Order: sequence, then structure tokens, then C-alpha cells
Amino acid sequence: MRNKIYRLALGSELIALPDDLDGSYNSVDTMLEEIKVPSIIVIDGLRLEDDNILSETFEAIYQFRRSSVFYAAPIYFTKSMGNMNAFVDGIESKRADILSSASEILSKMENIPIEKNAANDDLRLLTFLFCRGDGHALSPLAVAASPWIYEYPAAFLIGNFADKTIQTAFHFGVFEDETLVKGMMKSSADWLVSLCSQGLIGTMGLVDRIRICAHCHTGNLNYIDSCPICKSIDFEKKRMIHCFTCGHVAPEENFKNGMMFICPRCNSALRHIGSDYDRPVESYLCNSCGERFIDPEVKADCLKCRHKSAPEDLVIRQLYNYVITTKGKRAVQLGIVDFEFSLFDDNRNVVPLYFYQILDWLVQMKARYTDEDFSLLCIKIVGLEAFESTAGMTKFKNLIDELAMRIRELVRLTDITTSTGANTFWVILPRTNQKGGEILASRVEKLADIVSLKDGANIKIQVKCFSIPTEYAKRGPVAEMLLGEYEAALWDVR
Amino acid sequence: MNNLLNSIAYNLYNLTIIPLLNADFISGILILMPFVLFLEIPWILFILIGIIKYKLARMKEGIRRPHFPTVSCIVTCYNEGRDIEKTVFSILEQIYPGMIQILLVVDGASINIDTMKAAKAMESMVNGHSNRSLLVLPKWQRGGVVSSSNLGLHFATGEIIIKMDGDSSFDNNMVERATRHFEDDTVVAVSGCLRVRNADKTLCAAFQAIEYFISIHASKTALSEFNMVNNISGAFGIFRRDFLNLLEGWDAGTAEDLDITIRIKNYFANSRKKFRIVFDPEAICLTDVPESFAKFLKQRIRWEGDYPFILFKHRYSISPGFLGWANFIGMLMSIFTNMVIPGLVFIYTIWLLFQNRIEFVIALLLVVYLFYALMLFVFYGISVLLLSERKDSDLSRLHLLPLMPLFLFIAKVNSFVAILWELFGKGHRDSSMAPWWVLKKNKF
Repeated sequence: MRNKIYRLALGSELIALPDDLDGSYNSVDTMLEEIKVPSIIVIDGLRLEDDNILSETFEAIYQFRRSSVFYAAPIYFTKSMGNMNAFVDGIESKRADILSSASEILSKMENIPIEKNAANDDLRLLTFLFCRGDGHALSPLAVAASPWIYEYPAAFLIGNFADKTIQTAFHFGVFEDETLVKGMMKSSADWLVSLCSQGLIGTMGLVDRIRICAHCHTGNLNYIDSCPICKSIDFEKKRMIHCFTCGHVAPEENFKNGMMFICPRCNSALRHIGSDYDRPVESYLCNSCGERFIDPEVKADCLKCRHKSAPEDLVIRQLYNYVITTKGKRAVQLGIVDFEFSLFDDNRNVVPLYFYQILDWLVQMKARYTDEDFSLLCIKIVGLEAFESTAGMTKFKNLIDELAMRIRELVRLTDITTSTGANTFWVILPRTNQKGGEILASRVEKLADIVSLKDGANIKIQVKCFSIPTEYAKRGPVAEMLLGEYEAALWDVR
Repeated sequence: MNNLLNSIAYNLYNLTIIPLLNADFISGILILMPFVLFLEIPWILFILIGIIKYKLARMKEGIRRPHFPTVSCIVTCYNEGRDIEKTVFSILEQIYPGMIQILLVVDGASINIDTMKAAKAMESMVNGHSNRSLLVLPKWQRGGVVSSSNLGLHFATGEIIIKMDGDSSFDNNMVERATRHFEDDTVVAVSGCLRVRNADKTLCAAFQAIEYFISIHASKTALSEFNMVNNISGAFGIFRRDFLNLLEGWDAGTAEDLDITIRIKNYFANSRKKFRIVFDPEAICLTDVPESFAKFLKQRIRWEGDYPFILFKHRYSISPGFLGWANFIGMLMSIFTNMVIPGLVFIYTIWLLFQNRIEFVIALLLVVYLFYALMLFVFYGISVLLLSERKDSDLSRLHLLPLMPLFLFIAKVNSFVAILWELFGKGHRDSSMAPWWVLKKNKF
């Protein structure tokens, strides 16, 4: 039943033989109407040179992947289509080849709740991966036209993004017109990062590392040097000359006299570097404020949101190949993603008991070695439940993803985190004094405004920073009690 | 004191005029031997006329037309280490709007690691300058200075080739001065002016600074006016690339600088075309000279020893037919000053030692010495005032001039020893310019 092959003919140069097929169609809409069982799709008649066919093809694959029947079905081209090959399962045109290639996918589809999983985007992607076996990885594809530089083709099509078709076309260079792109866009990579943090997919090999704008998370950055005083980019390099005879130092052009250097102060001819003159320093002259400086300031200018940030403040994005995990497979088989949100990376997030032990040890250390300082951060998020019930699960999850991602950017690799109850998180900041902790606290608090603004939620984040007095060390293991006290204190403070 | 002077004057009169009056020719000639040196007077006058001629022409020189040909500097490096930075920096400093390519040819790069490192370290720095580029050419096995130059020539892209040593540095108008002569199509090469960088370090270096000024700066300026430049220094020569390609680069063997000059002159004669080699006293290269007398004498043995070897190699070319009369006379004059005079002076000094009349010896030497000192003083003074671009520095050595004839005498005796060593001991095989396995294969 399921191993039927249907053709979608998008052009006139057909390759697949009619005998090999169980049906042939000219429009995606008709196919989606008539075929209600997941089957094999062959897209035929393509020409790489024809831009119209390319965008039609794109549209077609997108419609299949968004449909509830074909989102995980095997799709083939009959001939290679360059970069577009990343969107399909392969290039085949003979029935036997197609069946042997698709058999694994089809057999895996037998025992999973295809229709049920279609309701949830995460499950759709997991199902897609599940059907393609353990070895199949989602690999990042460098797309020069995409503001995120890298995209995961399958995730891109299956995921729930706003203004899908236009965006897609824009990203993959099918149309070039940027004015078509409207609304909020989100990268497919962001989605996979959040699925990975939930443990549903896992990384398999690092492919690349890029730097993206800390403000809008896109990667089209222009590294530009500018005047450190007035920030103007209009400045020029001035070479200086130091006259040995009289000690005069001035820009080169003050010395230039025809094809010679003559010192404007003592009139001596400067002929030989090292014996008549030298170059004390290479400096820059700003043409807009007239200031001189030695090192221009380098900023990364985001071409999308025009936010200028220092290179060291850019967000570093690691691009991995992703494969499905056991947890992900279980979710596919059951048709349920049990959603537990974790704001922190798994390897730094520990169970409360372990967290208390670390804290106790740090208190002892601090009592013994006074220079060993650390502070403790309590983060409480208010308004999450209300948002979940009004905005729905998907938006809620997106919000949590966003929040988690932004908190991760603020927290260091050496910081240890735990969660002691609903919406309450603790962070140990080793080698950070109260002042440093408070700076971080205020930054985390500000995140509420950013995420609320974006998704229209009324979220509040309360953060309090503590520095534990050394007297506590004498009282033995006290961490658990301490955290309780502090949590109560946080509410009092409010 | 008066008595001594009287006695010397009396002796001079007795020993020179009396035998001549008595037609005692043999003793007369022997006695007058040192005055062969007076032959140099017309030569000196000739040079002074040339300098004045140059000065007048230089004052009339117009503004350069805005054509700046591309230039390739072939820097032959060996074990100079970080000293090559001086060379590269001074090329970077050139006030020249045209393109300058720097080719650092490192000979024996596998053993001269410091030189190689210094060269590599400058690559990105130079390539950051507009209109300047640097290419490092490592020759892993040592092959000598000639193969370095020819390799550099192979990679050179400039219309003008400047060949230089890895430890010299240049005035910042050198390239501009050197290239302007090539506007004249008949000019095939420009000889640059070598000056001493470490002149103020030791007495020996100061003497050499005076010697360089007289024998290069002043003399060649004048010779150039009569198209009689007889040597393009190996440490600093500027060539039209097309012409170098015509000669197929430098010839294997030692003293390649003199060799290529003679080959250029032969080419002039063979092709019956008008060609010129110009010396420009303003295209200046500073170089370090040996600071101790021992090292100085050793260096000269190496240099002068090559002289008869080159003459021997080109023995068939030294004729007015090949060289043209002016160059032929120039060549004879140079053979005279380089080979004959050292010999005569040497033999005569030995003869003098066998004379018992000490007053006579002192008197003669004193006269010769005074003559030389006076001649040098006049010559040096006039040429510094007319030519030097560093008058203060050159005039600060004026007090050394009275000792200068002694220095030159020692140098000439040394040259004579070198020539003897070359003729009887095959000295040029000892050259430091190339390894023995390269020299062994050379024809000469």
C-alpha cells in the first residue's frame, strides 16, 4: 500500500518511465487532495537553468513537508539540481532503485503514529529523522543569501516559520528581492539548538563556527574600523617623520618637498632612514573630528539590525551535525514530547543535592582562603504559567528557548546551575564578587523586557545576588537551609 | 730644523738636477722614478673638468616628466641576518610614485636561518604598503652571488633592475635619481654612488670614506660625463631589464660586476650602436666598510685580486676597436693605476731601501708625499664643495688628508701583493662569492 510511487511533473523534460509509476500529477494541490497515504514522490521534468521551475520545485517540496501526510515521506529528484539536492532524499529515476532506497524509510513509518505526530513541529522533525535511521544527520548548509549564514534544509522546511515561502525563496536565493521578506524570522539552527538542549537530538561532529550579532542573531556582519573618539569611519593613515637634526616630529606631508624630505623647522634634507630621520609611529587622523589616534576601534556592524558591537561581544555559534537520540526516538514512537524546560546546558546543570555539596565546599574554601570569593544568583521567573495558558504551548516553548539561549550567553562555562522548584534557578558564580554578581543580575533581569517585547508576554524575571558571609562555614553543611532562607528573602525584598 | 731643510733641499738639487745636467741618464731616471706619479696631474685635471661639466649640466636639469617605470630590486642575501631589514626599510622609504618590487634572494637558506626568518617576517609588512611588494626567494643550497642575481632576474617584473647587497641602505631619492636617466633610450645602465655608512666608527673607516669619495663619487661623476664609466659596482648597479636579458644575465665566476661592465662595453662596440652607462652621484647607497686595517687589507686582496683575472678573460676585447678610443684609454688608465703604479711603487720602494743616502731618501719621499697631499687636498676640497650632498660630514674628515697618501700607499702595496697572489697563486679560486663546487666548474 505504502510503496506507491507518484510523480510530480514540473516541466516537460520527463525522465521517469510511466510504467515505473503508480500515477502522475501536474500540481501539488491535486496530489495532496487525492493521496491520503504516505507514498514515494518523484519530482520530474526539472531544469536547473529555469528559475521558475526552481522556485516551483521549492514551493512543492515545502508543501509536502508542511502537509500532514508527506512530512516524512521519501522525495526524489530524477536529476541533480545542485544546492537543491539537500532538500530531497536522493536522485533516482528507476522503480527498482527508488524502492530499494526508500524501503528503510517506508518500513520505519509502519509502526509510528504518523498522523498524531503531524500536529507538533518538534515531532514532525523527529519523525523525519527517525524514519531515516540512526546514521542520518541533519547537516548545516552554508547559504550565502541567508542572514544566518547556515541553514539546516530539512529542519527549515518542516519547522514552523513565519512567511515561509517568501523567506525560503529569499534564503536560498531563488528570488533576490529582500523587500519580500517581512516579519520576524528565526533561524532553523536556533530550533535545533533548543531540541538538542531538550535531549531529543544530539550533536555528531562540529562543522563550523561563526560569529553572529548579539542583538538579532544574524550573521551578515561588516567589521569596520572607526575613530575611537567620534566613531567616524572617515579617517586616514598618516605616516610620521622624526627629524634627527632638530627633533621635529610631524606627518610626512609636512616634510615633502618635491621628491625630497626637507625638515620644515631646521631646513635640513632628510635623505636616509636611520641616519637622518626615522618613523616614530604610524598614526591615524580622523577627518571628521581631527583627532589623532594609534589604533582604530573595530566594530562589527550588523547589516540587518545595524547594531554595532565589539568583536568580543559577538555571539559564537557552533554548527553541528545533529542525529536523533534515544529520547527523541521514544518521543516519536509515543507521539509525545514531554516538555521540561531547562534554562541551562545539561552539562552544567546539576541536581540540587550535588549543588548543595558544591556550595558547602565553596563556603569552606572561602572561610579558609579569604581571596577565594564567589557569589550566588537566584533567578525567579514570574508570569510563565499565565503566558502558557493564554498563548499556547508552541509560543511558550519558543519563549523559553529564547530565554534559555540568552541566559546561556550571559552565564560562563564554569558557572554551575540548578533548579530547586517551579521557575526558580540558582547559579554559583565562582571567583566573582558581590559587585560582579550584581552586574550579571541586572543583565538577566533586563532579559524579561526583551523577550516580553517580542512575544507580547508579561514576564518578570527577579534576580538576586548573594555573597555568603564566612561565619556560615563554622556551622557545617548549611547550603540547603541557606538557599531556603535566601529564596524567602528574595520574596521579602520584592 | 732649518739645517735639516737646507740639507734636504741641497740634496734634492744635487741628486736630481746635477746628474741630469751631467747626462747621467740611468741614475737620473731611477731618481726621477717617483715623479712618474706626476703623470696623474693631467688625469686629475681631466676629472676636475668632468666634475665642473657635470655640475653645470646638473644645474640646468629640468623637471622630470611624470613617467615612473616599474622597478625590481634584487637583493642578494647570505648571512646578513636582521641587517637585511635596513636594506628593505630604506627601499620602502623611497620617495617614488611608481611600483617597486623587492626580491630577497637568500643564498644557502637552509643554513642562513636568521636571514631567512628576517626576510619572511617582512613579507606581510611590505605588502601592506601601496606600490611596494616583497618576494622572498630561498635558494636552499648555496650557489653564489651570480646565481642569486640571475634567479632574481628571472622573477623580476620591473622595467628597471637594481642589483644590491643585503647589507646596504639607500638615500630616499635613490630610485627616483636612478630611474630618470632611462628616459634617454641610449642609457642601458646606471652606476650608483657607494658611500661609507660607518665612516665615523674608526680611523680606518674614515680613510676609506675619503677614498670612496675620491675614487667613486668624484672620479666616476667626471668619467660619466665622457661616457667612460668603467665599472658598475656589484653592490649597487642599475640596469634596463631588456638589456640584461640580452646579455642573458650575469656570468658565472667572480668579479661579476666588472665582468658585466666589460660585456656591456663589448656589446656597444659589436652592435655599433650608441649606448651609455651613466654614473649618478645622487643615487646613493650606504655600505659598511671593514673597521680594522687587517680586515680592510684582506678585503682589498680579494677585490684587487680579481682584476687581472677579468682582464685575462677579456684579453681579446681590450682594444680600441672593441671598446672605442675613449674607453680604451680609460681602460689603460685604470690598468695603469691599478696594476702598474702599485708595481712601480713597490719596486721603487725596495730600490730605495738599498740607497744609503738617508737624507736623499727622506727628501725624495717628502717631496712626493707633499705633492700627493697637496693634490689630494685641492682635489678633495673642490669635489666636496661641488658634489657632496653631505658637505658637513665630508669636510669633518679634512684633517685626515695629510695622512691620506700614506693610507693610499699601503693600499697600493697591498693591491700589488694581491695581484702577485692572483698571478702565481690563483687567488680568485678563494673567493667568498661562491662555493668551491661552483667555481670549480667555471671556465676561468
